[in-house]
Amino acid sequence: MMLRANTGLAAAATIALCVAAASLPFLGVSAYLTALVYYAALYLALGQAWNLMSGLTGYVSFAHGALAGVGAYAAVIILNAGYPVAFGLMAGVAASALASLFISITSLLLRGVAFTFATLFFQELALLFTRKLEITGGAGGLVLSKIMPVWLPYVLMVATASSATLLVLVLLNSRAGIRLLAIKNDEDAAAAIGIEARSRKVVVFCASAIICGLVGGTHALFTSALYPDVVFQVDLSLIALAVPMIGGVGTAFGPVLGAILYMGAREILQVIAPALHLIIVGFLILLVTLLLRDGLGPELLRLWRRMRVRNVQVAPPQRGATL
Amino acid sequence: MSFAPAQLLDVRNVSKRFGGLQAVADVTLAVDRGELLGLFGPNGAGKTTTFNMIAGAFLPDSGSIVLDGEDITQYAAPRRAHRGVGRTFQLVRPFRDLTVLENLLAAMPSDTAVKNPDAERARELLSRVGLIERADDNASALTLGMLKRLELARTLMISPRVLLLDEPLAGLGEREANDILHLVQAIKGDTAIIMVEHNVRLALPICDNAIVMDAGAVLATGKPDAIRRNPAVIQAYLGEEYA
Amino acid sequence: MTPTLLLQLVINGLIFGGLLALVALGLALIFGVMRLVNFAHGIFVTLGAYATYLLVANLKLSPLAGIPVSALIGAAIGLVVQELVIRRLDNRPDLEKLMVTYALAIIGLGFFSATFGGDFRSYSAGPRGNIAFLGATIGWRNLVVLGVCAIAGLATILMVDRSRVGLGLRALAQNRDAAATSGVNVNLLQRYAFGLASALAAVSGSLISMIGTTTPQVGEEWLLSSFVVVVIGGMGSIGGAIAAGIAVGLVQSFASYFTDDGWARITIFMLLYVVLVLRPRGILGRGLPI
Repeated sequence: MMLRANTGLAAAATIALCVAAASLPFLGVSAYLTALVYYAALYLALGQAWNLMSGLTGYVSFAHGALAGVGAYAAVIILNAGYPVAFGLMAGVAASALASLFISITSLLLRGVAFTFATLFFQELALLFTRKLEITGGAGGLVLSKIMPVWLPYVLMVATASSATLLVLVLLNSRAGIRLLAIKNDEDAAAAIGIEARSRKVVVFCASAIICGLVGGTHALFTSALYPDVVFQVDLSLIALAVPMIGGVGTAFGPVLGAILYMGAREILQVIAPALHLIIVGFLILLVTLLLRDGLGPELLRLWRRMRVRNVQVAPPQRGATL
Repeated sequence: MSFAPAQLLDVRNVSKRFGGLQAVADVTLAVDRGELLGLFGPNGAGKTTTFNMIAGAFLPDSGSIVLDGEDITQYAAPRRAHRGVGRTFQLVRPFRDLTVLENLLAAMPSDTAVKNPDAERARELLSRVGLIERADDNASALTLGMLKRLELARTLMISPRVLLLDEPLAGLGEREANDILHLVQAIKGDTAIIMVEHNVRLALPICDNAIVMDAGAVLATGKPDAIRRNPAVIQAYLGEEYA
Repeated sequence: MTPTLLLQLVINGLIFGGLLALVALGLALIFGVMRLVNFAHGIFVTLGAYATYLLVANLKLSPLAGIPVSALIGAAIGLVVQELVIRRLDNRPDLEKLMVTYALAIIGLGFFSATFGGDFRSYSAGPRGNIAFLGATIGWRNLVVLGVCAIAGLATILMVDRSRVGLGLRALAQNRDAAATSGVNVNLLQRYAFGLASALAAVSGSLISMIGTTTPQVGEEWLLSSFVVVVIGGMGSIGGAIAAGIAVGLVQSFASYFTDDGWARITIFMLLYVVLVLRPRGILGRGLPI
């Protein structure tokens, strides 16, 4: 089937890109470029995590930044206790997964906005708790006792972003992915054909949180210091949703496009008008949601198809492997 | 129509109240394998509510719904689907982000199905409803008549033992309505079908048995001919049409 | 716990709760009438706060003048937003509606951050002095705030309950299609609801600027607490929003005293989770399903 060939090709391309990107620091590339690619990978990974949950189920999350933050703190706490890096990352993953279960139990079994509220408040709670608790260093923050070489978080982050993209790619072309989209489109109609929404939503959110935990733990290795206000700022959750929303929600490569666009826009804005950052991001999300529905990626694909095929009525593109 | 326990689906004494309104009062019906039961009645008769209780959209206040000896009264909709109860919706509800084929592939096989539904079975069903050419089109590109057929095929994907059709002819012109009815007859086979319909003229003739409800209770049951001639039914409902 | 202290805490709670209720009122109105969770609601609070601040700082007016001015500006901008953006959202899936109002909130936040910077703004102008009440002291300023909240709340309830417009709003909230076919002008009423809600939010912002500090995030912070209020009170329920607002205000006041501000906020937010698990349709169970 055409679709399957595309998936294989896309997966191969993703892995190739991953390897290429991961080898950059070893090729003597500038620190600036390394940081650029690192952050692009970070935003892509978070964006795919958001895409996995909100893009595929339609349940909007504002907690993704906070879930990463939870992972970061857990990782640092474990690392400072003397455990190896792998344990730290696992701790980060576990913490985020547990956090997602907490949110799921309280709100995901309900329909509609309850979940979104619960994620919104999770962000706040995480901020408040880390400021208060001793184990997280309170308002003064937490510092990683051992400084890591930059290539470690760098490679990890690139790997995480690629894995997340692969996961979304594979999922979208599986029955499980189809069923998630069915839930997103019409939960009742999905129930009528035997799709149990609750357990699926919880599982997907947990998987999404695990990616966030990896991102957070890895980023802790990169920054070496965590401050509550920085870690749990709204920005990260905003980026997590802006990247896929702008690039192409519910697709595998839309977030890739979104991450590249976002990094580009950010770099340009830093130079000319840093204060306009929020306004521009807000406007982009607004315009894309109102006018383009699915994001820039699918829209560009539609235009491309329309240019190639003359005189034939173009049906809206199927939810394919590549985009 | 008998109430012998051998009926595939046994609905006994179900009632439903919404606030101050007794929508369904002590309704009993049954349908067997290969039987097409029509559920008719004027607006507000309670037929849709009864239908929805059987489908699992909401639970009855009292009464029981037994499928092949299993009490499914408290089951949620996905669980009913797993036990072989399939339903369509009055206002079509396609999965608009998916293609026609994917709409079918989303279906979960019921526990009583012989084998797992795969793409082959999906294509076969699409052929039977006449949508095979549109298999890779996005569902949002289809007309209403096509969407109704899609929903029928999608419901059949779960290999239901009981098929519940919610006003399948609503919004269709005469030709399309007849197409759907022919389709229903063709796919019937061993499946038990309960069909709620407003269009008595077209739907009654293809039913094996029929129930007419009024004001939340059963007004008359029996074969289509008997229903047509039943004075109470004519008075309550068919009067204008059969004058 | 002396009676005086108790009274003081209650009064503080009422003031904070009154403001919360006022913000939540608009949210409940919009959700009830338009089935929309308006994440942009906080923008109007911030708007009212800065508008009043500017009136005081630049025009040397009394902040009390800021109240009607904020209301007007809030209503005007609310109507613009409703016409340009919200109206297009009618049949979109929930995810998109949410994204749009959220995007508006981000734009607003960005605008205020860029225009005013992140510093805390406050002023000392406004009603001065205290009065003694049963042993407790209430500042005149706080009293004014409480009074305005009460008046605005009462006026809104009366409008919804007694007036023809209110009847239309209630009809729309209960059954959209039936209302539309009964000749109710859906578009007009939605404009009215959104404009009114935005005006109320702006007024609360104005009041907040009087007794607190104004930052670009002030609206978002109050919005967050308001979400807790509308969930507890029941989505779409105006009476619920008011009652829950006051209740949450009191809880916050007492919690703040016995622990500290941070833990008080944590308590409020944990309340949300508890309500979601136990009573997702609000304490009284009369809210719309969320």
